[in-house]
Amino acid sequence: MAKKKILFVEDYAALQEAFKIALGAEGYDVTTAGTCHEAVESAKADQPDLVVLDMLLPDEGGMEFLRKYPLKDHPGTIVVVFSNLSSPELFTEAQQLGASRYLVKSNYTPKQLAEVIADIFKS
Amino acid sequence: MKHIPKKKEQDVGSYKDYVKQRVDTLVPILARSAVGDYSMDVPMDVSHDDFSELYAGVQFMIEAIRDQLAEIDQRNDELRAKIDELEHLRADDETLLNSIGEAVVAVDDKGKVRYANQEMIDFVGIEYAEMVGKELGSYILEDQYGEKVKPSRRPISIALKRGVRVSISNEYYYTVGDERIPVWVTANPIKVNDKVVGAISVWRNIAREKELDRMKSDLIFLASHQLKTPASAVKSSLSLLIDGYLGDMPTKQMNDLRTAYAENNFELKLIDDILNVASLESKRVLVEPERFDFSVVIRDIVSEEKAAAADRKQKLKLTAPAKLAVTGDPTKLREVFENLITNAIKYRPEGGRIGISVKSFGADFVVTVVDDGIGIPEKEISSIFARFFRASNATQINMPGTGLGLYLAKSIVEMHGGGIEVESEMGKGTTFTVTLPKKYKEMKHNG
Repeated sequence: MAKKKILFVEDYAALQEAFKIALGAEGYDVTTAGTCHEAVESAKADQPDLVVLDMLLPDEGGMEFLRKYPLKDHPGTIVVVFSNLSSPELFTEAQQLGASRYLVKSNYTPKQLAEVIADIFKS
Repeated sequence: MKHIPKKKEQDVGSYKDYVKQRVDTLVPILARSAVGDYSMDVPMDVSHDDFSELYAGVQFMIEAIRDQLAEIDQRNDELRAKIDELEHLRADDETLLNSIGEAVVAVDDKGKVRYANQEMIDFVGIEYAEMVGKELGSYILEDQYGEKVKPSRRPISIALKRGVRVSISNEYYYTVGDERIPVWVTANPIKVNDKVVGAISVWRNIAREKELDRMKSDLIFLASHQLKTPASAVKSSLSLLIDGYLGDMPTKQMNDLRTAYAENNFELKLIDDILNVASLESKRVLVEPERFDFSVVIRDIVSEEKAAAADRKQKLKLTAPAKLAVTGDPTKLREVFENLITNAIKYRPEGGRIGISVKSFGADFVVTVVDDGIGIPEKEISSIFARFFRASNATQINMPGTGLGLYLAKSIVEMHGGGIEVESEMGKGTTFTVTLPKKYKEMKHNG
């Protein structure tokens, strides 16, 4: 079976690195992006199975990614929002734009995130 | 008494003259009296004839009238002084009400405006004369969604109808021109001999407070990101090592890594707690009620905390109904019981049992968390729900804590209209009892 493709969108280098190592070790094909622009380009090119999406990015926010890469046009992609910003407004907006989960970054270790992702792919 | 002479015929003419002269003396006096001038006296009369009695009578009448007038004048003076005094008091009241810095309006028992202070007049932008006598309900208040507040739901109507003080916790808006001004409204009934004769309402423009609130929440928003991101990076890097993604690690190093990981997690928790407190205090946190099964939530928490309890060789025992339908904010309520259960685990020496029970009591449900841990010193029990408070024996055993968990727990429980109680005995343990309504009702009016 082909490796599942994950696009990990995160501008903070240390976080990007750590999660890339762990998700790679768990058997995923991991691409990273540090800006919204890079993320949209990469997603369009690679059609990832899952995007782990930070909300605060240096160019535009994660919501903008969801608008520029509309999930209704890409039914094969699942988006998990992964951010330290958490508010009911953000949660609702992300959900309306098609995000499947909204996880608070500081609550998850790379291994725990990998477990959540494995569960998502299972269901 | 001397009689008028009339024995001679020729005297008749002079008699007539005599009478005329006697009467003429009185005419100007009576004429003046007729127009309210009682200043003239009847001349001294030494004639001792039939007219003397009349003269004396008129003089007596004039003097009596003068006395009465003097008395009336005196009463008038007194009345005038009273009126002046009342005018002063009224002016004082008006000055007071105008200087109060809040918009004040008073209505009669029919809800018609009796009085509005300058601030109120400025606020609604309508002349005083146009306001008085009209229903206050014609000044349209809107709720946060832009819906008109029905006249019967307005604080002043409730104060009139129920005779209770009403203050509004949710916000209203009043539109002046293009500007939509947020207002905080309270109303109090005016009672005379226990009968509601009117009500007084205070409107406060809270635009400035709202602006500060927004700035505060922006700061919280930013701080939550700036503080948490580096700590999250530390967490993920350390857990890469701990979880073996970068190869095996000798036990000695591993122990140190675990300590670093725990400390970093503690810092993350501290940031979260501080941000939660800041949000609670800026009143931006609202209960977001939904219907959920509380038994599922409490079972989740218990299973999540089992590992932490096992590390300390403790057992968690949960007694809960199979299902318990509750309307409330599941995320916030989860935080309450996570805090209580983690506390029980932390402040109980190794071994032993922590009991959690959930029971349904009519419209309420009660959750108790019982431990046989170190207990709380008696004189500190009353302070444990205070912000940043930590019991002296908790700090002695060097157990990390933010001193915010119980404060948050209490705030959240109270936001849901519930209560939290604690019983504790030093060295024997602590029991927290949380009572919550099964159905959260938004507390719009408290009075």
